[in-house]
Amino acid sequence: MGLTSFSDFAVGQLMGYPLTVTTVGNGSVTKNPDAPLYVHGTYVQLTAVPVTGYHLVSWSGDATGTQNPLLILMDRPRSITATFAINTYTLDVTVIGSGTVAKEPRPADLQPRHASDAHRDPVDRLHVHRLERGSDRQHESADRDDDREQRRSRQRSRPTSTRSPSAPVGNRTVSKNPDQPTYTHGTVVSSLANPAVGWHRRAGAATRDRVQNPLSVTMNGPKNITATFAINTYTLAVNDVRERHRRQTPLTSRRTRTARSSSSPPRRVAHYHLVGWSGDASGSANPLSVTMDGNRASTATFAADRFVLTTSAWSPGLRRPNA
Amino acid sequence: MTTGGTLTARTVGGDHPAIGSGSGVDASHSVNRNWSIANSGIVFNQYDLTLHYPAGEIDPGSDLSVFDVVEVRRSPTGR
Repeated sequence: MGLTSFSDFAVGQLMGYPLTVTTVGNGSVTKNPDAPLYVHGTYVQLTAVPVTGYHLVSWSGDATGTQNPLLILMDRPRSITATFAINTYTLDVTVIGSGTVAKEPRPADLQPRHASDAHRDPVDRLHVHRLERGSDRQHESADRDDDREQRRSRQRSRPTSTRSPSAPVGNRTVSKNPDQPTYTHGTVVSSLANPAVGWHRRAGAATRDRVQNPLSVTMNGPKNITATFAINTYTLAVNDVRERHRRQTPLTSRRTRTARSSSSPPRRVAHYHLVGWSGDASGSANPLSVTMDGNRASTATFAADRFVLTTSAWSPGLRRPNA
Repeated sequence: MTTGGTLTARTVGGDHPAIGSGSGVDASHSVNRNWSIANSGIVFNQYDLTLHYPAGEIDPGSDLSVFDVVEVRRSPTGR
């Protein structure tokens, strides 16, 4: 279908309009074509070019939105502003094995607590100060309540019971410092993995790199880091010592086990009995339960059973004593 | 042209009343004349338009090399 009507016409010089572009933030804008004045009816393409780590927030002035590049019809003088802002990224921390994510400093220390906080893991409120396997070294923390809670937890868990590897003792965390929902481009975040008592942080299976702890992460995009914890393993050495009537060099044997816990019934030899345990165990309980929270070495001491032989002599001419 | 009809053209002296309302023509460097063409029933796909004007109607200082013909939006009242 063609045109069906006409209009009015005029003849003259076309107007030339300036296009003024300004920027806010780290970035620039290119104009194509680039000219001081644009003839009425000319289209100009504006391209926002943010600096690395920044992005275009929006156009403002005689333009709106976030379209990039942006096509502008020059039918009047125009002034347009491009606003850039630094990128922000999320840092997700995943814990495999045994651990949770703690906030350090916790958002509650920085701002009013929100109702949504109630949905967080309770362990989220705790800090753990045991850094390395077998070490009781602690690091600085302003959270004294958590510190006490950690000690109480450890004390509760110390004693004797045998625990499954899937139920580690105490609390284990991976903390982020600074701890924020998002991070601006270039922020270096320190992530500290704190294994639970009896656990340690393990290097990734795909790499043989040393475990970096704390781990520094430069935020140049959304990140997801995984902390893998593994349960500690220990050796259990048991020595058997048999005492003899005559003083001789004791008979000894040594066994080494790798286990978290062990029940160790001593091997009883005929006519010997258990005298007691020594080393990392004591008493004479049999069987003996040993909680494996470190390398253990125990000695079971046996002694030969003693028998009393009563004899008497008599002759036919004498009456038997009990006759 | 696919359908015939009537075309009516007229011209008057002086700048178009709406020349300064976004037409893109610099009213101080233009021809002081305007044209109006009305179509009745003609269906077409393209057209050629030639406008004539006396030299005395050109604003002084105008650069004829950048002159152009522009369509001026009619006012709601029709002019």
